[in-house]
Amino acid sequence: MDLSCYVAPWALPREGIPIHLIWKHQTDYDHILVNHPKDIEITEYYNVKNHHIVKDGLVKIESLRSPGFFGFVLATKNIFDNLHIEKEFTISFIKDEKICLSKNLKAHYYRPKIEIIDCPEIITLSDGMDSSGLVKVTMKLWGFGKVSMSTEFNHGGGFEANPESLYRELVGRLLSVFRDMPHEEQKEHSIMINKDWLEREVQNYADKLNNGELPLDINEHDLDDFKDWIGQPENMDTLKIFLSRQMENILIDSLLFYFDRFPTDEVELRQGSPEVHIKHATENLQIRFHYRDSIQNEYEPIEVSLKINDERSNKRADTKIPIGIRWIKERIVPEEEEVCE
Amino acid sequence: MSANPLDNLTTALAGVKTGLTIAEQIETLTKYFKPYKPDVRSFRINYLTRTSELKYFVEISPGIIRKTQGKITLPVMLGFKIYDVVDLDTGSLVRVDFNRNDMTWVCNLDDFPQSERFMITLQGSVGEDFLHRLVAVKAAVNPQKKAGVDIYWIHSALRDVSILEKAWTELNIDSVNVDVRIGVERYFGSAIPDEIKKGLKIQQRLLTAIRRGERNIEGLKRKYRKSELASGVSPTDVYELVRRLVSGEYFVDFVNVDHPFVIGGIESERKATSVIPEKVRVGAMADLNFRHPAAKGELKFDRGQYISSVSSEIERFKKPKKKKKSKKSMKKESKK
Repeated sequence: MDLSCYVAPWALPREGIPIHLIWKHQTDYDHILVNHPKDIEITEYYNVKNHHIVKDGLVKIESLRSPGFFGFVLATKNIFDNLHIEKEFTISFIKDEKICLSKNLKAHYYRPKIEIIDCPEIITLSDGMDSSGLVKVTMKLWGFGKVSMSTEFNHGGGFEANPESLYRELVGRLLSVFRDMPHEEQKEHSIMINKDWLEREVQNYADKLNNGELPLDINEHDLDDFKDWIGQPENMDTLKIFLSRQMENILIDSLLFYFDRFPTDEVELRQGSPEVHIKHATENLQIRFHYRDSIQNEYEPIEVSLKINDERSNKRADTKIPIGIRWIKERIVPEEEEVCE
Repeated sequence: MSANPLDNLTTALAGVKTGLTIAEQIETLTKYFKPYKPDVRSFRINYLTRTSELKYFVEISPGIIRKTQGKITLPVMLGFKIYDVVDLDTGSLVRVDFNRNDMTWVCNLDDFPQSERFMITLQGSVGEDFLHRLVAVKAAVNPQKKAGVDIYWIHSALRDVSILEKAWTELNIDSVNVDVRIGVERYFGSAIPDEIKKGLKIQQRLLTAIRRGERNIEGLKRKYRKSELASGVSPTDVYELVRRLVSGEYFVDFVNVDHPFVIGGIESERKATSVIPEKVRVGAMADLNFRHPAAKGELKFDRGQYISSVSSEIERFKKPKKKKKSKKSMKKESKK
């Protein structure tokens, strides 16, 4: 039987691997059986008219829509622990209850993994200190694929997300001025800004604010006033003018944020470089790092705990401490496609 | 083909939603051609332009049929337009006037030359859902990284031809497009020199200070002026540069595909909250038909070359400004 087949050579957990077989139209068989491990599943069929799941891991392809070709997509049911797993499956052509041709094939799945290699156990806050090198965490990126990471901090009252800094800054600015905002014409921007982009961005921020998406760490006393203010439809135009005027700042901020968000190849820090705000004396600081792959699979988060030795004279002063991350990488290069003629 | 006079008769209703499936549309259409012994020879779909093309062989003998029928009538609502008419006896294109009569296109058989066999090509449009049911496309989300080259596997296959409800002897689906999304975000972050980033940071601090109404900002202003001179670039310059480096025109030199694929459209993508494009979407196209029901291949992105090209563009972009050249001359230089 003249048959060629293809198995896409790699995928992430739950990402589908397309597989197809092509053979001469005249081939004589009654049906096709696909035998696969129970922890992977067929998520799509190509050119299959009727199929029947005989049992978990065994599918009978009863008829095809056009002769000489069929295919399917194989994906893992879950996220797995190993950096690489190999899953064998078999495609058999059956004639008179006997196997007339059988192909053993392999699907390869890979995942990324992050581990903490090194982190200080204790940090000391003092007056006039340089906070930039205070917390240095060494992380190891294993396996395959890009990761996108976000951080949460807990200094006593439960974990809080680190909101997108650009947006937090913008809302902070807005909260301080909204009551006095005049209904004035939009001023000329001192730097050149694409008009379509400007309109889209302004709408995007206005929608976010209007939907009540406010950063968690903003607890200003006038937050309720602001919510009332933004609830009035006539204030929407004023808000848009305000946002539009902020766009040159946003452009600079976004450029810097953009440079900050991708510290090394295949790593994205969703909120930019993490930074913890210490508002009052606290003894322990927990940092939790969440990470996802490119298809939004969320992996088990990793955590570090630090003791804080506060020697500052004003222990209630708001202090920003950047979390420096040093990356060590040990990546896997997936194997080439196997030839199966 | 655009010179074809029949083009003038084409209707904007080609994409009309009739609620009929493609098969039903074709069946209805075929009924209108029934007196002329229609034979559908090929059905061709273009994935990229979302159009379908149907070729009918018809017999319109000079004689009784022309007298009894007198004309060809096609309903506008079917969404198909007449693309061209070829006289198969002479091989020449026929000038036939189709006139709109309420909801039908009508042409007089008297306009046809004294030949017997003609081929009429009709064009219609197909919806996205239809194409999605007809073919499946997939590409690796993450590439295999090897010696400065990122490799993405690409795959397309016929998923369900039965939605056409007829086994056409010839079914062609042209330009089936598989999109590969190449992440480029990292390359600018590392290629933009620290002095430019520093200049942006000073500008950011200055804008914040002005906004807050701070008084002693002379020092910052001096720093800002100094930094601007040092880097010679503004935020918009950086923004425009990045946009140019992710444009299809620039990016096309760094991607390639193997047979049967060809490179299609290249467009940059960015998140709604970000100013700068983070991904470049590259289309890889292959034709599918019954003889080639699936296509497999690789799209290669020459990352190493791209990074060094981006770095030298940034270098080139910085230097002319120091000499106070105009933007125009800068563009000319970067094109060279």
